[in-house]
Formats: sequence, structure tokens, C-alpha cells
Amino acid sequence: MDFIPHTPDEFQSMLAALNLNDEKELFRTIPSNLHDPDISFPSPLSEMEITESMQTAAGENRGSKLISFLGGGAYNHFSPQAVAALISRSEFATAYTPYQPEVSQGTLQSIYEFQTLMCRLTGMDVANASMYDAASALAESALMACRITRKEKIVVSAGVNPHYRRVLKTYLDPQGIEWIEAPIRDGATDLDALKTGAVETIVDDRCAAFFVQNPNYYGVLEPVDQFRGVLDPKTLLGTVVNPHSLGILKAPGEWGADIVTGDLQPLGMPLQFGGPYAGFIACRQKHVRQLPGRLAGRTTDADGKIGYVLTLQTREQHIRRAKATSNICTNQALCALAAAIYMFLMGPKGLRQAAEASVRNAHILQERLCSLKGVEAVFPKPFFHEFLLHLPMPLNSFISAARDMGVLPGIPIAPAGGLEREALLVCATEKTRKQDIDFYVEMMSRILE
Amino acid sequence: MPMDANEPTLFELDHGGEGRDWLPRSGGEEKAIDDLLPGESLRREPLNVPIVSEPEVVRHFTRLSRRNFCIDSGFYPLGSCTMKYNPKINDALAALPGFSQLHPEAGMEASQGTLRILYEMQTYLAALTGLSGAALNPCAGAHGELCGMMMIRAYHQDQGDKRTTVLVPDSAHGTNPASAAMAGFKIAELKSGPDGCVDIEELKRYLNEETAALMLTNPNTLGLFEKNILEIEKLVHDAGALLYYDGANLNAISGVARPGDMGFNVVHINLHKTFSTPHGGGGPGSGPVAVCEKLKPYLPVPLIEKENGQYIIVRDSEKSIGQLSTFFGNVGVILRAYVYMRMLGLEGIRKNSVTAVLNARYLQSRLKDLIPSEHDGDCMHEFVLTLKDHDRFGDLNVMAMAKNLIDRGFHAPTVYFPLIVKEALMIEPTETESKRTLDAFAEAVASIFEEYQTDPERVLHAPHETPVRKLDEVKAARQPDLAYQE
Repeated sequence: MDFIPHTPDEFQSMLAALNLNDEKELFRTIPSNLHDPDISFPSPLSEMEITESMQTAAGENRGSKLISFLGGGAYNHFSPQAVAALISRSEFATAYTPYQPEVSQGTLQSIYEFQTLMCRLTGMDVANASMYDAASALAESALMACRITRKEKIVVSAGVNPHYRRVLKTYLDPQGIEWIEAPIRDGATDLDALKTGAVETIVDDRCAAFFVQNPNYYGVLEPVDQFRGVLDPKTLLGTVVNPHSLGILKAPGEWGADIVTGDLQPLGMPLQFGGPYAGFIACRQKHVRQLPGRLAGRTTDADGKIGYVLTLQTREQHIRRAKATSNICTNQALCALAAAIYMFLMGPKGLRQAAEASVRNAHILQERLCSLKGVEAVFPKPFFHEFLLHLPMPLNSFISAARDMGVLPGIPIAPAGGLEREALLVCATEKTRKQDIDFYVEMMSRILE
Repeated sequence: MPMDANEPTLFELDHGGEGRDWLPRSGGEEKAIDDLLPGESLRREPLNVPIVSEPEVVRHFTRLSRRNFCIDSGFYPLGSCTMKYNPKINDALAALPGFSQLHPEAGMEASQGTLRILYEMQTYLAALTGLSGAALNPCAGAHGELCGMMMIRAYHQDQGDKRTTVLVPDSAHGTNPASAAMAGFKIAELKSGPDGCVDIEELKRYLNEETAALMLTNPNTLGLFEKNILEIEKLVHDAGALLYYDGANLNAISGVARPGDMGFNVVHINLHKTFSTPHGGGGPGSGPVAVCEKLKPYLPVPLIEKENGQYIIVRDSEKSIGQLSTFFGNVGVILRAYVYMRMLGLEGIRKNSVTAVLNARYLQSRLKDLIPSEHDGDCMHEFVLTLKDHDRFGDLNVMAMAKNLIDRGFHAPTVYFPLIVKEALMIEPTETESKRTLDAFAEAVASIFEEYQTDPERVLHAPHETPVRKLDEVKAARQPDLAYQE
């Protein structure tokens, strides 16, 4: 099976046109001892065979068929069919980076509209065209903060998704940038540990930025209005947000954030075992020259007509090479397009209703589960659509029993700073139905018995 | 509405009103959101997103899509980007609900299908590159480069070696020096030799006890195979440094020769290029890495391994550089590439490379009387032409050539790259283009020169046939308008 249009005759005639007798002569600049390696590889499959084979593999993913209460950075949301239909158009899917703007206006204008939506959602001035995922976007945001402030220390709340924190470490360590975790108390960032002027503050004058996630990894709403006030005015306030929550939560721009980052997955992207999703970074206008990643800008053409181009490219690797703001080249453009289409389709009302339904379902579920004997909420704090539970039995046994009954009941969280013993992270969304909640409660009570 | 009319943004089409109800009507009484969340955490004003109907959204984006050039609509010879046809079956199978609805925290037992494919993919990539292990976490080529450079750094540190500098040829992609810098290295740029390849003497001058690695693209960005690769390998390794392979051009040699056999220690593979996944207008891509035995301990986590017939996720590994992406990388892209590789088999993969090189050589020969190549040698899957001879080409520069090709229904080649060639046109036809298309492209180039003789003004002011004409990029940069303002 191949996708090559040449007939054997054509192939030969092209070789002949090059005065070559044999296709091997095409590779005569490769040292002969490197030719024809012995590679072990499975035999080719027809489209029918690969379809069957992939259907089998898909069937081996039992998790895709269970009722899921998993979150932790990847969420099971509704996405209108028009999102998938539009992003699968060849004109979007099989184009590349809009290097030639005159024949890439579709992609460029879409990016511009995406950037605008992200600014409005986050309350910031500028948003880039996407990063790989929230984790890399957080890491790049931290590097950006170091460039802006010319300082080399980052403080990150222990309430930030542990996967993101691990990626942050991977990025910061080789550059010699110091990073410290700010502790959690009762499920939210401990403000006392951040106060400048305090005797043992961790946010000193060497600190480029402090990053907090809201809602945090445990689902808890952070005291976002108070961070700006306790930080040194020169320390940037960065945040990781779930864009789905911003359908109802106050925009980070309103509570003093300087850099806003997060993952676009909740805006219309399938779970797909963790990717492709897309990260984003939004910031203040004055910091745009330190922003990594692509930016589309509006301009005019030779006839004065409105058009769009990639702009401020002197920040980027293809111009600045080793001195660029980042090495990023290919980003997650099609995912950003999906997010834009999702937001337009849902509109302010749909975005609000989806967020509200997630919150309501999570609260109903939490209340009902906590009415079971021995089950308790770990942190008695306002939460969004995820919450932590302590169970009166070992988590692994519970999860495995639940799975046998057709439910993925949550993510097991190991004890860590601020969490004394293992707990279950449970999530509900607007897709969680009343019967799912009923089933979960009944199932848990049966397992606990 | 004619195609060339402005398409307003959807912000301008906001018609107000209520907007659609997307969610099922609630059966019972609902708690007010203010009773569940503290009032000060909530938005005071409604979110400022326009209210537009589904038909308007669909028409808007369909109209925008028609303003894009894409592989499915025409020849896209963008050098170094491998714009080959993307089989539709790849997308359809990656979208099977069993894959697309699987949560990354579903647990190993519940994810065996995807884990098996990821594991097999690691095996295939190691086999094709001639290396010992692979990791799929990096989300794009540059992410793979960063990963590779971090592994090299960790390896040297483990050896107690303080090696601070990475050598990068001046013909390299910009991502190479940028990635090495992000991994904490200093960069030394190697001047290429007159033949466009690594200059051995120059390499010797730069190699020393501080050299951590040489990053090489092979074939290089001029489309030339580094014929002295075995000597380069010996010099680099004798100096105690490692050899990094930028897989951007792997489509030239996959199944034909292997970077591992050339002595490369780390490779990144752009699955979206060589293994044909849709480029998405700039992503998502996927940039797995493959490594030699001694670098395996440094691979990023999570690792996918096989144990007692089960596929398992390994979250921690003592010497690993750590985690590079939130979950497992761009799994949806990896699934597409997997489908493609399984359909081709080794013979198909090899045939791709053979045909990609044949197409490039053929097109170069069709163009040779029109535009000279910068270097003589046999090109591989791409080649670089130059319009720098002003006496010969007058004002018909690369930008004008690009815009006139666009007017004739072709995407432009990569322009002004590699940086070491003045007025460079970098052309990569790929194997999925027919002889007829290549002939038509060559004829289009010829017709541009003819038109330049008769109507130079028209040629120099192209494009004329596109939805917008030449755009003012200076204005875009001087007065940045990056978000729509009412």
C-alpha cells in the first residue's frame, strides 16, 4: 500500500531523464556500507486490514467505555459537532504554518480571532497563537517572566497540577533558574508564606514571578484577589487557569495577573489519551516582545484591504536563532482553531451554562458522596468542578472495584505537601448526567459495605 | 459574494440577543451559582464573546478556509516541511471513540490498546533509525530537539564532564541553536564548506573538551547528504562529544539508511513530515526521539514499557531528564503516523524515500536551465536554487518568484532559507506528486521568466490572483494589532 502516483513506466522514464540506470544510484552519495540496513518491521496492511487492527486496539481501551469522573487537567466536555466538522476541512488541516500570507488568510484570520477570544476570556491584552500544552506553556511563561524581570527565581504554588510542575522543573533546571514551591494550607496556597517583608518569605526580591493555578489541582478556588497585594510589586503574578471555568469566574486580568496560561483542551478537544491539546499564554501589551510563540496581526494589503500576517517575528527562532524567546516553531494551530470555533458556537451563554452545569453537578455529587459513612471532603473550601475525598478504605481497592462496575471514579492522589494521606480527585462536568451521579453514589455505598 | 471580498471577523457579526441553549433543560430546581461559589470569584459582566448562530459560524470558517492553500488543493513544495499527501484513513482511525474518548489518567489496565500502539511505535522508530530506544512525548520537532539536547546535557553531567558548547552548522534550522540554548548550552556556529557540507577542518578547529555535541541535519538543509558523515562521526566521538540528528529531512533516507548506523546518538523524528500527519496550519505535530543504548536512561518520562505481556506506564526513572509534556505527547498524531507506517510497511517507507529523491532530482533537472543550484552535488529529497545573479535575473528576486508561483496555483517553496544561500528557493516536492505536476511546476517557472520579459511590472507586483495582495508587514510590526477592538 502506498500513496505514490507514478506508474512503473513513469518511474523508469524519470530515472532515464537523469541518466540513471537504477534507483540505487539516487543514493550514491551515501557511503555504501550504510545502504540497505536490516530492519525488522511488520508487513504492509491494506486499508481494510489496518481498519480492523485499529478497531481491535480501540476496543482494548476499556477506559473509553466507562462512566468517567476523571479530570486532573483533561476534561470530558461537550463539543458541538460543527467544531470537528470545520477543523477537519482539508483547507485548515492540510495547510502548514502561514509563511505565505496571501494564500493563508484563512489560518491567519482564524488565529487573530482566536487571540482576540483569549484576550477577552482572560482579561489580558495579548495572547499568542498557542503552545504545545499547559505544561510547556507554564514553563515558557516562567522563562518569559525571567526575561522580563531579569531575575532567575520562580515560585510556584504546590496547588499547580503536578504534571505541570514536573515539566516546569525539566525546563528550568538546565538554565540554572531556581524554583521553589509555595506550600498549600487547607487546600489553597498559603498566603503567609508569600508575604513580602515576612521573616521567612519565599518571594524575595530575586523572584521573577509567582505562579498559582485557579481552580487549583485539587479543584479549590484560590484567594486570587489577595495575591497581588502580598507580592512585591516587581514580582510578576502568573496564573494557570482552566478556560472552561472562565465562563463564570472572574478574568485573571481583573485580579492583577501579568501572565495567564493554561490548556485549551476543555474548549472542544477530545480526551485522546492526553493530546493533542494546546497551551496558551496571554499577557500585558508591555510584555509582548518577550512573549514566545507565533502571533498573527492585522494589517493592510497593497490595495488597502484588510489582511493578516505573522508578526513581531524578531522574537522567534527562525530570525533570532539562539537568542530567540523560545525554540518553538510548529505549535498546535488546529487545536487553537478548534477552541476558537467552540467559543464562537457556545457564545457567552453556552460558556456560562457549561461552566455552571459543571459546578452544580460537582457540588451535588460531592454532597451526596460525603453523606456516605466515612467519606469526607478533604478541604472544606469553595471548589469548582473537582474535589478531593478521603475514603474509609484503601484507594486502589476502591478504584479497582469501581472499574469492575463500569466507573472510573477519580484520580488517586498520593500524600504530598498539604495533603496528609491519599485522596481521590473526583470531577464532574456538564456531561455528567443525573443517572451517572445516582449510579456513582449507589456504587460507592455498595463497595464501602 | 466574490472570493476576494473581505471576510469580516465574527466580532463584527455579533447580533446580540440571547444566544442558543446548548445544554439539556434541567428537570428540577437548580441552586443558584452564587450559592455554590463565593460572589467575589465570579464575573460581574457577561463574557464579551459575540453572539452568532451556528450557520453563521460554519459559513464564516468555511469562507475563511477557502482563503487557504492546502496540500489537498495543490502542489506545496515547501522545503524542509515535507508537505506530502495525508491519507484520510489516518484521521478516521485516530478518531475512533475507543481512542478519542480515552482519558490519560484512565489507568494502565483500562488503556491497553493505546499503550500497545505507543509501545509498538517506539519499537518501529528505534528500528527505522537504527537506535536502541525511543520516547514519544515531544510534541513537535523543536520539542524533540530540546529533549535531545537535555539528554545530552544530562549524560555529560553524569560522566562528570563539563561540556558547555553545542556546534551547529550555519545551514541549520533556527530551532537547532534555539533548542540547544534552551537546554543551557552555548552555541558555536560552524561555517559550511564550499560544497555546502560540513567543513572537516572547521569542525576540527571547534571540537574540544568543551564540546557537548554536534547537531546535524542529514541530508542537510541544502538537500545534500553529508558524504563525510563517517569521518565526522569519528572526529566528534573521539573528542568525547555526541552526535545529534535533526530528523526534519528523514523522508530522504528512511528505510534506505539509518542515522544510528552513521553513529548518531540521538535523533528526533518529525512524525508530521515523514509519516504524513496533517500539519494543521502549523500543528499539532509530533517529535519523538530515538537514542542509542547509553542515552536510554535519560529518556523523558513517562515511559511506556512491556512487562509480562502487559503495557505499563513508568512515571519515574532515576536518570531521566524528567517530564516534557503534561501527559504522553500528541497521541492523536502518533496514532495517525502509526496507521500510515503499518500500511506502508518497510517496503513502502523505503519506496517513499526513493520516490521523494527521484522527484526532487527530476524537478531540479527540469529547472536547471532556468535557475541554478547553489551547489553541484546530487540532491536528495530537496534542493536549493538561487536567484542571486542580478545580472541574469534583474529584479526578479525570490519573493517575486514565490508570489508569481502562487498566482499560477502553486504554493511557494521555502524562501530565503537556508541563510547561507543568497536569494534561496528551497524546493521539496515529496513522493506523492506526479510527474505531470512536476512538469507543470517547471513550466510555470519558465512562464514567469517569460512574463518578466514582456511585463516586468506585473511580475514584480504579484500576487494578483489571491484574496489579498502583498501585505504590509512593516505596518503590522510597527503598529501591532493583535486582537480585535470594537
